[in-house]
Amino acid sequence: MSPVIVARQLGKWYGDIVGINGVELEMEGGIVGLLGPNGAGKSTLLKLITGQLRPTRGTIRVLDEVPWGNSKIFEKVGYVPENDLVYAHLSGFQFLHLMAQMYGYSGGEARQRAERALEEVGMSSHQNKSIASYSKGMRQRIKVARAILHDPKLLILDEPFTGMDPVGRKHLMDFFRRFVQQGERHILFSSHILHEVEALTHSFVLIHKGKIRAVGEVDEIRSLMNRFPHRIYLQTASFRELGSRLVFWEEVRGVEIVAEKRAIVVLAQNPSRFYQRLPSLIVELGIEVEEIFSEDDNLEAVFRYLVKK
Amino acid sequence: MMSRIIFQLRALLVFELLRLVKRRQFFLTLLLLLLPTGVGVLAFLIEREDIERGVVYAFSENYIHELDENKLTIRLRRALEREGLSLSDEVEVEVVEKGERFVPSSPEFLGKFSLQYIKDLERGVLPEAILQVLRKRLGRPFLGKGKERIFLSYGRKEGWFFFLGMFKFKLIKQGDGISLYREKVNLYQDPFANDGRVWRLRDLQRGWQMRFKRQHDSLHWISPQISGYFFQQGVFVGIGKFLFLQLLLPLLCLLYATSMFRDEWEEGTLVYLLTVPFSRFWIVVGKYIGVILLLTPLFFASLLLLFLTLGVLVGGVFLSADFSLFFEFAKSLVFGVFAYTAFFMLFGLFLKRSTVAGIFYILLIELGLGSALVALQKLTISYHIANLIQREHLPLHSRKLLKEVLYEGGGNSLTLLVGVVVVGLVVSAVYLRCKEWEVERGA
Repeated sequence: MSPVIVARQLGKWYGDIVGINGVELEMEGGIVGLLGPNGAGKSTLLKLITGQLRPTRGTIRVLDEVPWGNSKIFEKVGYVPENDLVYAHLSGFQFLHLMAQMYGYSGGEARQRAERALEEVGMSSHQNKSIASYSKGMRQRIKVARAILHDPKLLILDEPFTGMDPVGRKHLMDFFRRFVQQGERHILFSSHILHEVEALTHSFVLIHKGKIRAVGEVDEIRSLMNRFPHRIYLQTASFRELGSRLVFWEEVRGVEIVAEKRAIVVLAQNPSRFYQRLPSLIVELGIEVEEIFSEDDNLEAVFRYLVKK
Repeated sequence: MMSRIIFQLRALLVFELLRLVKRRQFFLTLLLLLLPTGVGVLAFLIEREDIERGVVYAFSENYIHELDENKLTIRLRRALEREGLSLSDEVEVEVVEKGERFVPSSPEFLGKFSLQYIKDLERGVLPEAILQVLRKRLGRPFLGKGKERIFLSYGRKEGWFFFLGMFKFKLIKQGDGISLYREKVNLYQDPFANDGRVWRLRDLQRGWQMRFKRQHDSLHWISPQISGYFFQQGVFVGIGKFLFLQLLLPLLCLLYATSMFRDEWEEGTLVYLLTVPFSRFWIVVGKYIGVILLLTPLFFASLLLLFLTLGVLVGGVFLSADFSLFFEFAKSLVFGVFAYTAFFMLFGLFLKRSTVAGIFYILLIELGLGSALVALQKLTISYHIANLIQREHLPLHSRKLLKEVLYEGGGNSLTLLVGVVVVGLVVSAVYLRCKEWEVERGA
């Protein structure tokens, strides 16, 4: 089976500003998360994939077709844009019914498809309410419903979980899993939140500053991340005592004292092992740790590692 | 395939119409389209007294010239006979208002009166106004046949009525003659006092001077009904040209056409239209038709409201007489909506400040060139829209009215306007096909 998406040396420049550059990508199928911080180039890549932007250089093929200027590609691709849905004067059903007709379905079939899509995203009970009255999460679900009206082979979603409540998020995630289980269906979605992507898939594409930094399974990326020291922040009244002990640990590369905050920042080579040993030490010293967190839990830090790599 | 495109187009049209009617500019549009009727009512209120007194409203050259006078004479004679009068009678009549005496000389002269009298006479009714005049005959002959001296005076070059192409005249006896002059005379001239030369009229419009030469031996005098009728027709033509064809038509088309894509892009809804399996050419066509479907009925309704309101205000006597004039204007408006919308759609796609640029274009080119530089008139869309009004099937006086205020070019205006529409659609479609809307939004 040929890859769903193939990009070769794909680049997009906005004048002097790089959107993405030298992107090499082969998406085989299933659910793939496009992970990257804000401004990484996720939306640019998704817009290139959906033919809304023309590549400045390189090539891209989606389901064996060139997407730029090719409206027919949307017969096989469903797209959920990042833009909010502002057809405030329509109800959810009216919007989807008209959209189904825009996909070329006759009145009766369009109605059936609209109803089915509403059911899939759990919005049937709200279908006759005005879109203006919907919460952000409900509008997100209507956007997804619009993208699946025509049973696409590939679903492209730009930040689909933004503003969603936990119930709605779970509902959508369950739907996405069902969607790909139907066979020959694929999803590429973008997010800047690590756990959001992890909750849905193990396949990542990591993008940062317009370049693909890593592609693979979540375990590969985690081990990759473990090769680089994490910065762990510990706040305690006995910060000097704690620091003096930690500095002798094998997995600790350095300790920085932040006296004004009565804290230390530990540079841990193997964070997993560090977290294993730390509770015992705290008990042994009989100290109270007020706060502990890893600065590296945020995605930006992960990408800093990968860029350095 | 075609049925699929029809479904898609229909859905796009519904989207477009629902979007447009929910916008604030739609309510502004409704208000603007009530404006012509408001102006018409205002004009009526200002002129009401004069209309009821039978003051002549003449908007163009003499509507008597092309009458078959023999035919009219015979009919007039019959009508007069029913009133116990004969054509050989010489009458002197008195104008009721202001106590001034008004003498239309002879019944033969009466026979040259308004075309509209024919309609009354054909119905066997002698216009009440004439009867009033004839019944007041004083028995003293006024002037012999062919010796009428009519002094024409004029005044008030300024004023909005002037710009509406509407001239209001009064017939007043002066000395041993009859003067036809415009109300509120502030400049009186007697061209015949200078060996019949008309050089003093040079500062008037050329057309008026020529009319003057041709009709100096004619006299208008009409009934209140006829006066109202001419008021209706004149105001309709004036407002039709200046408020509809030259102002509201380009302005409203500009507002809707320039925002066709720009607003949707700014609101973020354009992406929902561009990411369906529907060619961008049809998206252009669909959105274009959406604006046409919205504006055309609105313009039609506004024009009809003006026409009927004026008709009702002046008594409704001739309400149905000249619907052909209404339909000619309506037709022009429809073609105008098609052409201007296609034209300004290009503004919206190519220019950042398209609405401002469009307003400048309307003021400088459509109104500026169209009014000032005769040689360049043909470069304006309004010229060709006005040209579409077919005059030959209209009643005589309507033709003359139109000649007064509208260009009369003929030629290939329809072809040119269709060309504007085709070029507008094709260029817009090609541009939309190549445009990366999302580049402007950024990554």
